[in-house]
Amino acid sequence: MELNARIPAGPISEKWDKHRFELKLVNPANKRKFKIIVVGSGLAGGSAAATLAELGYDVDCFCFQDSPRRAHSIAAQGGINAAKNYPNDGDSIYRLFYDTVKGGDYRAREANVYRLAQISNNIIDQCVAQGVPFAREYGGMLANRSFGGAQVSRTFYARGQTGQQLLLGAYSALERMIGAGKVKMHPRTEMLDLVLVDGHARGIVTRNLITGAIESWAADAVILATGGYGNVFYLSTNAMGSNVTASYRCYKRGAGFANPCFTQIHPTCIPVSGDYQSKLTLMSESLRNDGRVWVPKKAEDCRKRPREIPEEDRDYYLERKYPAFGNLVPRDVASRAAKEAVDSGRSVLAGSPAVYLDFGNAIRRDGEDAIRDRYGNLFDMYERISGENPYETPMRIYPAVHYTMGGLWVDYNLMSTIPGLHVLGEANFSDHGANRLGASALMQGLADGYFVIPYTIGHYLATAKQPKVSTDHAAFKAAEEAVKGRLKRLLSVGGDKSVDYFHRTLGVDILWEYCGMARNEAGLKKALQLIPELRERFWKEIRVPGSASELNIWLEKAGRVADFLEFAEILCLDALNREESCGGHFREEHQTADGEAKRDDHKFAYGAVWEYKGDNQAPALNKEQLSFEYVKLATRNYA
Amino acid sequence: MSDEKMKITLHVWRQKGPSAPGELKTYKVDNVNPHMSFLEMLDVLNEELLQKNEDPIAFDHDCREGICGMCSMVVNGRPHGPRKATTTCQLHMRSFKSGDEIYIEPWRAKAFPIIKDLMVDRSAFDRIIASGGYVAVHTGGAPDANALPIGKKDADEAFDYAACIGCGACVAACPNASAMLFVGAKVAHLGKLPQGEVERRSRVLNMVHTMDTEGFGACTNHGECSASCPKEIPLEAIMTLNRDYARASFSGDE
Amino acid sequence: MSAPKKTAKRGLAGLMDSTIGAKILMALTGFVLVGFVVQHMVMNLQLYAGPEALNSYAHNLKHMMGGGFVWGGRAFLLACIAIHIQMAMKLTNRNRDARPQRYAAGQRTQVTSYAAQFMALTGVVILLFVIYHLLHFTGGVVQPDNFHVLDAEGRHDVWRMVVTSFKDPATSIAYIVANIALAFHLSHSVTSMFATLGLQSGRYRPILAKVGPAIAAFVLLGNLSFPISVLAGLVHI
Repeated sequence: MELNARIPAGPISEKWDKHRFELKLVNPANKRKFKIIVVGSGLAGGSAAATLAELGYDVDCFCFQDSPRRAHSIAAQGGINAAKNYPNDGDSIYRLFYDTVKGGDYRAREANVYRLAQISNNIIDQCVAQGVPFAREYGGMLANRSFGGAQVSRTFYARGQTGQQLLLGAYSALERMIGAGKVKMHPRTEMLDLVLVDGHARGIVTRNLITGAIESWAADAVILATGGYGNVFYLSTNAMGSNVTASYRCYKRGAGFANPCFTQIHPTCIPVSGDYQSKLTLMSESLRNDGRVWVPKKAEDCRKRPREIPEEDRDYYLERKYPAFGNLVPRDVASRAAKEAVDSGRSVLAGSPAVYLDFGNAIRRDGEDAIRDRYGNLFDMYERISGENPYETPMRIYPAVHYTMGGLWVDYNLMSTIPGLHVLGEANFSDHGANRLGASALMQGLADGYFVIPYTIGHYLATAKQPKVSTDHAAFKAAEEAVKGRLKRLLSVGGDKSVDYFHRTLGVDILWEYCGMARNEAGLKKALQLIPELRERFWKEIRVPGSASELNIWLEKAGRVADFLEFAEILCLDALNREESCGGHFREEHQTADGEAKRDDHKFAYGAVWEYKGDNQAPALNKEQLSFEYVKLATRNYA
Repeated sequence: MSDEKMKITLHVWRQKGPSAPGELKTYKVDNVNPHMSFLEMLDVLNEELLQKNEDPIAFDHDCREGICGMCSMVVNGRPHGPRKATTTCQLHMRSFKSGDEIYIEPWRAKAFPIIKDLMVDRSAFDRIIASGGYVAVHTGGAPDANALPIGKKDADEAFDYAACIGCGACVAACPNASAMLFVGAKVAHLGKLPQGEVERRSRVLNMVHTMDTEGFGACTNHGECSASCPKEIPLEAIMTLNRDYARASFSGDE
Repeated sequence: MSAPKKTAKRGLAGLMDSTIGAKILMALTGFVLVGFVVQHMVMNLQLYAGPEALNSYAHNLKHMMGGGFVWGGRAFLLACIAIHIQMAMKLTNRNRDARPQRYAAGQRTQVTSYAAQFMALTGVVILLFVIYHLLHFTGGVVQPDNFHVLDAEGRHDVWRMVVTSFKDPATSIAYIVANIALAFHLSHSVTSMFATLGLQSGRYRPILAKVGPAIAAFVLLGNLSFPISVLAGLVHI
């Protein structure tokens, strides 16, 4: 597998400009002759589909939801970073670039991150022009707030619903193009395979989720913007439908999958309350500004009412371990500390891991009204889900899988190792390294869709010079048959276990247990033994009722879980291979004396790109060596 | 918090397809944990139906945190169920008690044809937005975001309208299956901002025209839409819509 | 970039075609009818001033502009009623069609008032009553003996006609029932009228919410007082 990142030469601040000049263009009159498929309609896919259509390309956009407005980007709460420096507090493109590379624990590509920081400002302009109602100051200017991992206020936000407002902006641009007949939207349609002709991505095979129809779509290029794979853990903050299938199908067709072990665990989520639990809900990171995290010092106090436990018997472990940052340490550090507290037998929830996030002090200090003003909607949400009043009793929280930094490998043009297959947003691996900072996922999705792909895809189309193909081509027929065969196989097992049973076992009992917040060699090897066993049982014991030619919710899920069962193995392989701790990936063997992550820049400053070699073959590891010319590698220290 | 198991009797609308006849079917679910969400309770029921080789209940859902707007069921005669400002996915079984009978039906409107069971086709909403629910700006070339100051009050009010999740509860709750609150929310959101001013007239005319063509009913000013809205979009949206529509109709140019 | 498709008819034609346009017509005609109902009640209060006041008022009104004022007014009101009813029927049909299948387990309303719920029913009752009322006090077809009476000055004795008619409990009850229906109708429709015109907005919202019920109560009290006073013997010949 050739991994040419195609990073332009020259000083980092001039790379993107220079590159844009060097990219070949498609004549405006010729654009309509090019068909582009966009899979996914979130921030990345929606903005790409709209912008490409504005440019004149003929776009087909697909999503599995009933409307493009429902993509999971909508759930992002906190905000979006940009280097506007409106508060005049010392921010700059360079600083945003630097913070993001550092926040990613030095496992991202410098050139990509610099471009992201440059584009960040255009995104804010664009969104404001679309009518996104960002928070404002009384003087009418945009408001900014600070966010984890930065010492400047560069986060733009729309209450706690920034993702929703940005997505609705992209959605409105997309709907405008749909109304103008420039984009054909295919909702409730799931991509099940990628079709290659002469080595180039030339189309996809989909299943209509209502009728079950298997259809082929041919195009001149394919854009994948299908989000992350966090649901491989079964419980995560992702939407129920989020899945790895589209990315994984592309992987099996030859696209390299990079850094799958880089998964982000968010420290403040509402804990699991029972076996029936279907998903986890995130509570904004901002709560740690006023909430204090603790568990009882003595395990026998854990069943007591929290208010009955005196101050001296409480262990405010973050404040104890990290006096400088206290409760505001980064996500990965806070998450691991919670796990450590629970592992020492001090969970504060019967039958499930949890720690307290206590606002008692803040309420006594500032009054209940002040706290209500700051966090009212979050407290309401907590009360709705848990049934407990957080003004009276501490919240119970626990970390949960939230975001996946890994994804399909892409070059500077966002093209995967398959020519013509471009990957945007969370689905690619490019910008966040081993850990994503808050408020930068939205930035990346929109940067890719609005401002990168419109340039780079033109270059591909102008230079690839592939002949037109139609869905009559044998490659489409073969892919369709493969898809149908697989569905048939799922339907014909006739076992007695449900999809959810296998999904839960894979995610909760294997991945979360052995490849979750802390990983070690023995555990990962155990997981790598358990996953194939479970996969084998899946294909013997699964029950998928109904047929493929109708709306069949079990069949949809079964197909996704079957892919998770294969993908999980690469995730664990990657975690096993990466014998260092960095960002979201913590290997217990690689920690400092006081339990902090220990990177190994000498051996692991590379992107690990996995290459499919056949169903019963181990995937091959390829490496994209990272070089840091501008950012100085240093150990993150929060104590 | 009580952890006692609850016994619930469900009457669920089952309908094989858009034109098939439907009926309420009764299911008993024991072992309902009060901490379960409403949709998790349906997951458990579907799991039981699977073991009995029965067709699972089809319902729309995705984010399960009250923001995607996908979940859509009328619970005991109220869209999204009994809790104010709460989507079905955020409704928990502790809002009910053991022995309760719960009726679950899909959104009912001509403009939202039933696909299967509790799933409806809400693409009419997308078509309404496509006909004018946007600011027609090209990507690129936007002026600096701070070039145009917008008062905090206007920005906040615009947000209140923009918070709509497009779930369709307003249509389901309206005695006339009217979409005025949905359309009004978008018209009012963009109408509050200077960016939306240029296309203000054509937007409202086109969106209302699409709304009428899609077969939604007319507004009779009952206020059920706003009362059922999980995001509490104010009725003021409809006032703005009415005003803008009248003004746009009476003024000749665009 | 392509301009958005011009799907909607523009101007008045577009307005007339739309549901909101139909509602605006209902609101405007409703405004006229409410105005008429209120002044009708207020003028009828002259019943308490005795035969001379009421009869001379009626006489003058009838002969104003050689009778043209009354006939012009009647024609205008009739047109308003016709448009109001036509739009109501159009919208009611549309609204029924918009939900072809009702909720099998019923719908639980949260804020709908009784008045709002029964607008069509009260509208029909009012229409029937208006026909009866015209046949009664304007055409003299119902109870012609009460109608064809002249006072000492040879004018139509409206006062006597009203009092004799209301002495009959059945007639009075018909008027009372109809006026209760009218009050319900007004209590929702007057506020709704402001809403349809987009005026029930901002700080006027809570005030206008009370205007409907207030006008309804005002008209109801006035109109009910006539038959009740007569039945109670407070006004007698």
